[in-house]
Amino acid sequence: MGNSWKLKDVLLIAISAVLFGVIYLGCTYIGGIFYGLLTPVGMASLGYEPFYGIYFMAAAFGIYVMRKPGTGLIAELLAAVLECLYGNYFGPIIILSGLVQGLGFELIIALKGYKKYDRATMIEAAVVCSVVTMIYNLFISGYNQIAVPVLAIMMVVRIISAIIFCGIVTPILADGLAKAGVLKGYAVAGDVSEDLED
Amino acid sequence: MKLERWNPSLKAGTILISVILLSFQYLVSLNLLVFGISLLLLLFCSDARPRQIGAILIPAAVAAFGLFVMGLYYSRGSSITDSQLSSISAVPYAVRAAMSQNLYSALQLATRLLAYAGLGILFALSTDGEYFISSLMHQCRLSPKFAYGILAAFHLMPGMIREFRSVRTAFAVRGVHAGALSLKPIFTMLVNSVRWSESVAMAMESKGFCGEAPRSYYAVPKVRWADWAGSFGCIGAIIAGMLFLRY
Repeated sequence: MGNSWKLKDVLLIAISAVLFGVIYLGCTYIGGIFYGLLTPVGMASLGYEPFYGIYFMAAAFGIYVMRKPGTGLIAELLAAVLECLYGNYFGPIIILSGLVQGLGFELIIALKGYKKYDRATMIEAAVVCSVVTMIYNLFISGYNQIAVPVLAIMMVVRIISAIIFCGIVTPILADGLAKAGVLKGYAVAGDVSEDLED
Repeated sequence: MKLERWNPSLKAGTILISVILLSFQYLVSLNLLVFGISLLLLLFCSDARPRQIGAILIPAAVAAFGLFVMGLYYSRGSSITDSQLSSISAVPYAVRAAMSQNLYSALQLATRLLAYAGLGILFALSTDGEYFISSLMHQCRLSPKFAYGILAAFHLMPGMIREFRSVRTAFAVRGVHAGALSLKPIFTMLVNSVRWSESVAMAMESKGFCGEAPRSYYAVPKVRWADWAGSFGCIGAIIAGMLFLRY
């Protein structure tokens, strides 16, 4: 799997992961305000859920642009190692979350044989990834202690966030890049030029 | 032994196994012990400064507090029932009763997060990034292409933040309003990212970097018996805690 990767592919995935990390960091300020407002009503953890989809953007962007098996997983793992290097207080635990997020996002695309990358597939992948990460939270973060209706609200917000960031925004950005001719040599560019011929 | 000298791959592996073990238990005492011992180890067996530890603990403490309040209000099974809420006179008692039942679940949730944060901070403040990547290469067979790719991206971050700011300023100068989540600056940054990835790859390759060929290394992290002893000690202590602690 690793051998078919060129250095510039690795760098593109890693650099975009850093970029999405920076965007997420910007959003945590807004998330922090939500968090503060929601703490007195006991819904603090809901504060960051609207931005949860940004976590999966590295995987979504990577696999949408490169369209190779394993790209989503590798992208999330790279993003996780990078976050670990920046000194996240969860340290290497982030790598475990990255593994779950990458696998979660790639699941649907893998089931479709790495052939379909339309909006519907990306949205399905985003939804499945949200559900998979919530199951992970149930066990690892102890969310199975929390009442089901509250978890359901969190789940819905997370799914909406993932659909917006990964199912809609990421393909728009990547298609835009491909149309601008920036992504020459990547699988997404071929797909967009086919569209233009139609 | 200093925590900095603990092989980073083994340290990370030990922490991951510890977290998976901790996720199977609900002992408040064990969680607090893991958190406390992690901080003590950092204070006395590493070069981390107390101020650094304090700064990184603040977001963790805030997150733990939020989870605590959430657990207090919405723990599964012992929440306030609708009928109790409907009869006004019963509310204060019902709230008190529900809260006392929920208190333990809330503590379980919050202390678990603290235990994870303790372990995470232990790693974050006692591990040099480049040493970690180098160890991933030698102990976990991470390919040099990925290892040096990660390091290149890592060191680009300060430049990227600067670039992001100037892109936003450039939009503002042209009178284009770009909000916090506007796609325009993000698109420009993605274009930059692709360009950077191409030029950094070209720069690395022109300096003779090739992902496949055998290469020599300035320093090769090694695994000594003390590293294994530390790992087995930690995991053994957590298993012992799971077996012998009660609350």
